[in-house]
Amino acid sequence: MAREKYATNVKRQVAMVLDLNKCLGCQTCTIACKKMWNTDTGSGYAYWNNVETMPGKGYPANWQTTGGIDAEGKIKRGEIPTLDTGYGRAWTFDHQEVFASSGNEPSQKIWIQPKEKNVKHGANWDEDEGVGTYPEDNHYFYLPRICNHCEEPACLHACPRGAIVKNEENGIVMVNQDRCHGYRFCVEACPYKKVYFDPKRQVANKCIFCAPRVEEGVAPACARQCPGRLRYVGFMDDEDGPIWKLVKKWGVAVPLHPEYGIGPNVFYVPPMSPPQLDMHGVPLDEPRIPMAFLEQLFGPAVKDAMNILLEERERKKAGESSELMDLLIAYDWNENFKLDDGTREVFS
Amino acid sequence: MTQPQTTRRNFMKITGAAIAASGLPLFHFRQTAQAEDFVAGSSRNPKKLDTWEDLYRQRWSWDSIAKSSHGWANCRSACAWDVYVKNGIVMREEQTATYEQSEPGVPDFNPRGCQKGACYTDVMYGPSRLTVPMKRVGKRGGGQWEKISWEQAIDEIAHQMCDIVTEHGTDTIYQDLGPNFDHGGTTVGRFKFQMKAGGIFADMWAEIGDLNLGGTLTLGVAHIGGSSDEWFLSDYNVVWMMNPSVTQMPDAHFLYEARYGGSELTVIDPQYTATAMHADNWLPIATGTDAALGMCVARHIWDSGKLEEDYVREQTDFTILVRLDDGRMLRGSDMLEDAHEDKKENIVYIWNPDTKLPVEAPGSEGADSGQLIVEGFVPPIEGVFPVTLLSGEEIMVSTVGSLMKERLDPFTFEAVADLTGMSIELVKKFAHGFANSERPMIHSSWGSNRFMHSDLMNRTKLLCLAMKGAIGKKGAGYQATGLIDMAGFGSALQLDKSGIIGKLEMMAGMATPSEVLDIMVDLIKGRKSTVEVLLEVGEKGETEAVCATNVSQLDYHYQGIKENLNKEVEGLYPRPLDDYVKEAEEKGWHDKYPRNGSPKIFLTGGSSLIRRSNQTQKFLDNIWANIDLVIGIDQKMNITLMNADYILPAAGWYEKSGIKYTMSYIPYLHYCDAAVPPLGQCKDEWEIYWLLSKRLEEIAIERNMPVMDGCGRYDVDWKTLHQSYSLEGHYGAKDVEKVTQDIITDSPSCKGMLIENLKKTGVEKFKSTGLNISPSFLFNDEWKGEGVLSPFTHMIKDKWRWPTFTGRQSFYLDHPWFLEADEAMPTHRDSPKAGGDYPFQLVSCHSRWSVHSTWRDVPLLLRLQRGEPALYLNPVEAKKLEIGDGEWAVLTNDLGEVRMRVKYSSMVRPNVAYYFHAWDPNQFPEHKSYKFITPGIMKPLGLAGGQGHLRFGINHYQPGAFVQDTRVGLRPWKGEELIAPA
Repeated sequence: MAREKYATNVKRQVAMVLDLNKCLGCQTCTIACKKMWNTDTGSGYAYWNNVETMPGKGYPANWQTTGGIDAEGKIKRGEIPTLDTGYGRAWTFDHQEVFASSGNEPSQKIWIQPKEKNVKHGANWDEDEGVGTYPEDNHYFYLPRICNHCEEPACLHACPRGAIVKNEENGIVMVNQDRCHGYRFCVEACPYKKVYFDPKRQVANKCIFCAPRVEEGVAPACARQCPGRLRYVGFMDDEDGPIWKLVKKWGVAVPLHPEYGIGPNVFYVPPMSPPQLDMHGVPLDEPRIPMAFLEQLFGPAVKDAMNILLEERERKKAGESSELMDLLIAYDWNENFKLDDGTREVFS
Repeated sequence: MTQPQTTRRNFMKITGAAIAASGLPLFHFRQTAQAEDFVAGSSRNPKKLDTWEDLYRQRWSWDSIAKSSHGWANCRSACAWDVYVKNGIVMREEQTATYEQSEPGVPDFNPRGCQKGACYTDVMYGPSRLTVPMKRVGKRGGGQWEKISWEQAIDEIAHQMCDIVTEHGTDTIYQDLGPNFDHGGTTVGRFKFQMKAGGIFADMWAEIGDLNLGGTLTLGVAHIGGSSDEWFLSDYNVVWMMNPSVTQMPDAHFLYEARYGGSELTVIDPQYTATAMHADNWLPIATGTDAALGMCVARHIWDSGKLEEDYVREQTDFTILVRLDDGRMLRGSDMLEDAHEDKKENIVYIWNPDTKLPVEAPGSEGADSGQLIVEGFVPPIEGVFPVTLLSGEEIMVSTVGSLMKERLDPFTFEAVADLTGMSIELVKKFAHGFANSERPMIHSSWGSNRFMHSDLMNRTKLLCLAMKGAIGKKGAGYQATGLIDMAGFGSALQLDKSGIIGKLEMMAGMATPSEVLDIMVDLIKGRKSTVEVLLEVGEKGETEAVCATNVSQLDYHYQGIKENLNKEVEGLYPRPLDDYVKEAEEKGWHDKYPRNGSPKIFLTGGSSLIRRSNQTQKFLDNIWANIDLVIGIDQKMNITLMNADYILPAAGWYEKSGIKYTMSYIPYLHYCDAAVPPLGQCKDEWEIYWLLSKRLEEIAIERNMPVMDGCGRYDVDWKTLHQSYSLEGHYGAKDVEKVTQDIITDSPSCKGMLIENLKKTGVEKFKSTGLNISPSFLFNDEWKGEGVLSPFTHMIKDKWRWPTFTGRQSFYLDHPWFLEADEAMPTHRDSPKAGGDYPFQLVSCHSRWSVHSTWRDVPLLLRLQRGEPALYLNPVEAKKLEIGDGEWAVLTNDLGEVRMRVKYSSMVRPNVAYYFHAWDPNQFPEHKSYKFITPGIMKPLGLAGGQGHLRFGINHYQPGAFVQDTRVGLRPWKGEELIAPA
């Protein structure tokens, strides 16, 4: 990778681990994020945090193939998803008209439905769709996604205005709302499609890893509000923190699409799944989610990660101790988050 | 430093105006009151806009925080929330997350919550929110409204109510008990009014399909469960007819963490659910065949020598003797000369192998001891014995154990694999895993009670657990939701006067002096446990102090569905359904309310009765059309309020004091503080009923209305209605917080708790499970607020009798109806084809995206769905029918046709049409939902009574209206006119 380095001045990198074996698909993270940062009309369709059903088209649709990185890892012109078929619009509804129509003849009653017709996608359009044949190998799982706050962010590289910065203190990537001129090169470039253009304000905006909270030692809303308790937040280099332990020490958390080569800082504990059944309904040794699919998402390292997970679980089943399992159990939820000293999870 | 431009600044401004303007409905007007009078919480107002990053920092700021929750939400959870207020508007909410680990070695509860709780603000300020009193203009349901004042509304309603009860009596006033309610003062207002005004309480627990009838039949209690961190302690978790990833979000993590702790997780579900995806074993069972699987597991436990004999001998009815000539248990009336005088007619027997004689079973009805202690011999679980009756007749008796073994015999792996559509290997693997586990735990949700034969399914699950000695064992057993008792709630309803005088009068009303004496004697002699005595008093209160019926029975009589339901049930039981209804009412097992025809006044209380009524068109035509006065009291518009005469806007959940109802899952009291004043002209329910009762009293005095007989159970005098409601002026219109504090003070489970402190913490751990005075609140009177809460451990330890007919966990019900139906013991019964013989079974799950109808129409959440109701189909099936993803399908059966958009999902079993429930009819074409073609089949045995725990009771036992047996045909919609459900 002979690319110019933009981000060498980062002193510490904040990161997140998500354990997919605990994800409920409830989207509390999505709502927490939305309510915190994106309630304005122009950001209606913007989901800094989204949860998508995999296998599936995801959000925006087919984001994995719209990317702005070529085979050598260089920035190239990517695609901007369209509002109708890529993102799906933030549908609007007319409740009042519906309530008032109740006196009409049955066929003249209108009902609560998106006013935008020909809707072809949405932020959770493929929810629970999955693939496979019932009951042999039908399967799906949830993949929550935020900005990866990459080592070498494609969005940052692509911005001709220098409006995208990676914070020196914590490595958080943010769009300077004052400098942005709305060219959308960043939207094209990000291979994870995690930059959103606000058509009302004509600027780009994206996940800020809840920087104002992180500054005060409070975990991002998506992580702190997750009832599945699957998110861990901390600094990459903190050997007492959960991130280093899960990513470096145990190697059970792997990044999404490492082959994009821009150094994502969000990591996933891969999902186990119940066994497939043969055509007579007899359980096989194969998990429902094929390893090949996981490798496609998380790269070859996911295989080892999965094996470590399964081995440690066996140890625990046999009554032995396991630091890894205890970490993933999260007996004390507060320990899932380790930011600066003085981290406080109760901040009222 | 860059100077922010105006446009940028506008973007970051998150004032109330922005939110309010985005969804400003017709009923809204601008919020003007200030918040500072209400909440003393910390503020966070970071520095001004010096840098562009400050734009973001500004966004995470607030004027104050209130500790609150979603008090009236009918979810089986309680979660503590920080509610952030800025400029008098609630901006957002975030979990407080201050729960502690119950004990070392189990994970803590933090942070509890879900996506709905995280955006209640979108309901509160949403497009359906109501803010002013309104009166219908033109015909009912015509969509035309006039804004009126509270004074006018209350006055007109009160006059009409007086007219109507004068003509029809007070038992014509109808409220259903829920499902949205809390345990605080606002709900006391609603229920107390109903009680004191002499109206009927129609319990909807079974009608909505949430009542665990199998639990009642087996253990004498419907609500069984401890704290959810107990799940972590099981070594074999079985999720059986539940979907916690979707319906129990704050607790689901314990299951998945238990896996990391070494536990195995099995999910039994026809669908590959969001819970099944995390399982070690997924059993894709054929819809409605769960009882067969349970019988097979039970058989295997016995076969493989894993039966916990000592436990079963002591705690279950396996040792009880049954007459082989008529299938009835051997009773005192068969054996004793003075059985009647000695109140021993119903005592049952066990066998003494040494003397070769039947012996009175300790703990059974009329026995000298209330404890299950057998001394001097070991009663057999199996055997056939000769017995000479009082009459001199010789008969043969056997044990329940023997009969059960015979009953289980046909449920071989082969037979059950065939019935359940699974391989022998898969069934075996499960049976083996269950039988060999130390602490098996079965999770069975409220939603597990929606098949006609759900009672059999749940009885079977309990059988498997009992045979493993798991019920009452820490880290094992049955998790179907327990509740912590709030005794103060009950007394707040019943009190007429404040202070000790009021309480004495209330108690005097519950028991006569001789009954009090009997109770004392029972206690002193150790015949009964205090729990049992309290239970009996509670039951008495229910039959004498409240006019209680159930919604299914009311619908049966007045909805015009009698003929249809009889047809649906035809051939399934020895007699027509109507025979059972008549017998139950003749024998006094069920009172028919209202006594003289269908209800005339309906008060909604946070539930949407039209939305959830099966055969909705018939409900509208026959019940609704005959109601003279419909008063909709709610925070938001829905189909029920669209068809009301008056709308009284209720305060939202962050706008009133309350207590989230008290689930045992999370053994903390959750106080709901008012973060802001009610929006617009909204008022909380305590005040609404305060005003209404006051006006009614004034009119009653003016007209000198006579004392009325209520429903025939007690006198009702509206001339003192408000006196009674307000405790002779002790409580004012704005005193809901005072009422709530009194509820807390009178509840032993909340010993020492003060609202003053709860406003700062939001939660406080319960000190005990309370008085256990109602069947729904019985699980552990030994838990003192420390450690994991396990249900029933005290029952096993102290060997107190179970609140059942035999005093034991009951797997044999010798009630004549059950014998006649061959359901004395659990078994498998095919799911009846309700709605006719059509290829798809219409199966529902509680919704991920709403708590029943609340949140169902919130745009923020609709955008994360398909924006409209969806019918989930397996793509293979849908393609065969040529119905594309997102296209319209017509659902058709004997009741008519409706249409829904299809969503493909590989999780769905072929021949299942799956939906997440609670869509409002106003979200369907022609405002007709799937409920219009759902028969709501009734099981005759639900009307049984007159024997021990087999009796009607609120939250205990009653007929249901079951939906999961519904069948439909499907076809693509090509624009044709549909057959309207009639």
